[in-house]
Formats: sequence, C-alpha cells, structure tokens
Amino acid sequence: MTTEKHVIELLPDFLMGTFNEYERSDIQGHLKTCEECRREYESLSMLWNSLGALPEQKPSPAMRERFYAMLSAYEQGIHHAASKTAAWTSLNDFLSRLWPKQPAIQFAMGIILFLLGGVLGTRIDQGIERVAKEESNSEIAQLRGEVHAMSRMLAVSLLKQQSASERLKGVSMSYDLGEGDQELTAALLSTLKYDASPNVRIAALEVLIRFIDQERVRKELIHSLPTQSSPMVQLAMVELMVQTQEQESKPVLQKLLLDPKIDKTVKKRVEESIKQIL
Amino acid sequence: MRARGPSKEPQQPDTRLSSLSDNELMIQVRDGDVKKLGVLFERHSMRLLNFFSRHTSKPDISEDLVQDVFFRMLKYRQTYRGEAPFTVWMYQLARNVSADYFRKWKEQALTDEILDKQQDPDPLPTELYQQTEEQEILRQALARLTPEKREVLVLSRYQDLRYEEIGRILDCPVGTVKARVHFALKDLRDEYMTLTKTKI
Repeated sequence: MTTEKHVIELLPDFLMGTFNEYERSDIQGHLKTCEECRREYESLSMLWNSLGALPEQKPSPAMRERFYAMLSAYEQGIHHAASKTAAWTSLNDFLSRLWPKQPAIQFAMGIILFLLGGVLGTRIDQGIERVAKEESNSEIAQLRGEVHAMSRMLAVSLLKQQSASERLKGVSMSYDLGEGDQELTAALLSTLKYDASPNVRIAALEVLIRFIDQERVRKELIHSLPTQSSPMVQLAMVELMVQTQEQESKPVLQKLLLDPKIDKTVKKRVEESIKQIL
Repeated sequence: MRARGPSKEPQQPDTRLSSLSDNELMIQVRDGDVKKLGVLFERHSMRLLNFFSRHTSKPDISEDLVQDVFFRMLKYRQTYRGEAPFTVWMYQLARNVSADYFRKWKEQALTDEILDKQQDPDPLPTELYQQTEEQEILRQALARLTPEKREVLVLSRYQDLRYEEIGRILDCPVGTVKARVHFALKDLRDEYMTLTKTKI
C-alpha cells in the first residue's frame, strides 16, 4: 500500500526505528522505486546519523559535588523542620493525655474562665481604686497636716507681733485652728499673762477655755489670775473659775482679795465666786 | 570522572538501589527518603546535561540548569504522582527550567541591545568536544534553529524517548510531534547547507 504513496511523512518513524520488520521492508520497497522519497530519505537520515554522532559534553567534577551539597542541605532542612514539628506534636500529645478531648467540658471551662476573668478583673479594679483612694486620703491628710502646722506657726508668729491688731489676728487664728499643740497653748498662755493689751489677753483667754481640759492649761490659768492687772481680764477669769468649778482656784481667789490694789467690782465678784465654787 | 569531595562521598547512592525503577525511587524521594535522589542523579544527570547544552547551545551554563532541575525535583516532590514515566516528569521540569533561562536571556539581550546574538549564538568552545569540522558546522546549524524545533530534535534524537512520551512532555498529539521532527530536520538541513556554502 505504501509503495503507491510517498513515504516522506513516515520518515520520522522510520528514522526512530519504530516500525516492525514488515513495515520497514514495505518502506524500503517504496524508496527503491521513488526517486523523490529516496533523495529525501538519504539526505535526512544522513543528517539524523550525524546528529547522533555529535560528541557529548562531559560534566565537570564540580557538578556532582554541588548536587550532593544541595541534597545534604535540603535533607538537614527537612530534619530541622521535622524536629520542630515533633516537639510541637509531643506537647500536644502530652496535653491531650492530660486532658482528653471533651468539647462540652472544654466549652464550659472556657465560659467559667471567662466569667472568672471578669470577676477578678472587677476585683482588681476595685482594689486599685481603694489603694488609690487610700493613697489619695493619705496625701490629703498629709497636706492638711502641713497646712495646719503652717497655720500654727503663723498664729504663734502673729502673737509675738508689735501690733495689737496683729496679735488679735493671731489669737483669732488660734481659735480657728481648733486643737492646739504645746507651742500654741504656751504662746497663748504667754499672751494671757504678758500681753500689753487687755483685749488681746481676753481674746487669748477665750481661746484657752477650749483647752481647759489640759492639766497644764488649767493650772496656768489659775496661777496667772493674780498676775493680771486689768479688772476686765480678772472678771473674765473669775467667771471662768466659777463655771468650771475649779477647787484649786479658791486659795488663789482668797489671796487676790488680800491685794490692796484690787478693783472693788472685782473684789465683790471674787467674794461671790468663792461662795459659788463648791 | 567522579567527584572527589570526601564529605560528599558517604552520600553516594548504594549500588544495590540500581534494581529499583526511576518511578519507585522518585516515590521514595516524595515520601521523605530524599537521599534516593542521588540514584536518579547518577542515572540522568548526563542526559540532562546534554539536553541543556544542545537545547540552549550554552554548555557553560548547562550544569547550572541541571542543578536547577534536581532542585525543583526536591521542591515539587510532593506533586509527583508516578502516573507517567519519571523521565516525562523530569523533562517537563527541564523544559520549565530552559524556558526560564530563555526568558531571562532574552530580557538580558534586550537590555543590552544585542538581540542579534539570539540568531547568531556564541561559538561553542571546541575544547569541550573532540569533533570534526563537519560536526562543528552541524552544531552551529542546530544552534540556529528556533528553540521549539531544536527542542523536539534534541528530545527525539538524544534522550531515548518515544514519540508518545515526547507528546506528553510537549503536551501535544503524537502526530504533531512527528511533523515537528520532520520540519525541524528539514530546517536543520537548510541551515547546514547554508553554513557549508559559507565555509566553502
């Protein structure tokens, strides 16, 4: 059949040797009779054989070395990655043995932990708030104490001023301070005994009445009565002795009656007060 | 000639593995026994080297391209299914490597404004081959073919592949492969004749 047609299209197969013996003899038969096909076949088969005879390139020693170096590096990379994965897997295995998979329990635990977190968070917030409040209170108390101390210092300082009006301010400030310390009460007692102005001394006496519970203040008040020269101050002090029912003041009052310079009004009030102090 | 590197010597493949087929070895490589790739390297590196040196007409870079193919075998080993012969997969990878090479080479040629060199490749270093003048002319004629025609000739003439396998590598019908081989041979003859006349 092929002898009647050109076999040029079959040349690639013929060259590759893919035909069986029968097919080969059939084609060879055609080539003997067809000049055109024979020339084409001879030309291309020669070229095909020449191609096959082209020398091969020889690899350099470096090619093999480079390949095995790459293979080794890749292998190490795999082992490194595998060891990391193994560590992670073993951790997971350990945890799963510790706590087997039970989705319902794990879900419930998740919710409990969430709520616990909320409660703890609130507590911590409150705790922080309380601590902050305490700290704040402590700071305010400290500031208040500092202001108080400064006020006392100022009051004591004012009591020692030359001006009577300044000394009155000092007494008035002492009254506002409420509680007095030893320094302030000492300053007020000193004002009561030695201040030149009767008004200042009376003002000091009114402040000292608040500290009458203090033993020292009480005794100082009683014993400073004879030293007073102003009838107004003497009367105010006698009134105080009567109000407080000071038994210790009786000898002092009786001694005052013996003073020849005593004011008549004062003498009369002192005699009455001795009777009133029971 | 074998590599000397003493540190690499222990990794040379065991000769007992030679009984395993390419396909069996590559499946073992795929499954993690990457050392087995050494056997495949010993079997196919020489053929791959000559595929590249003939296909690219650049013997100096052919070893790099071989290295690239074996690297891709490792990189894409998980994709190996073993349904086709191992050599089909290997030459598919080799084609991708040479396609990347030609693209880079073309870009470089365009950048350097030496596009003419694509039609007139560098003369091959004769010291790499013990060849006659006729063989030198034939090699130059082969280098002047289009990459597609040169590729089909190289695959059919040198790589010990059947047309069916070449069809799978090139992803085209067997008839198309045969036709391409035929046209490539005719073009090669024309180039050879032209070069011969020029020499005379």
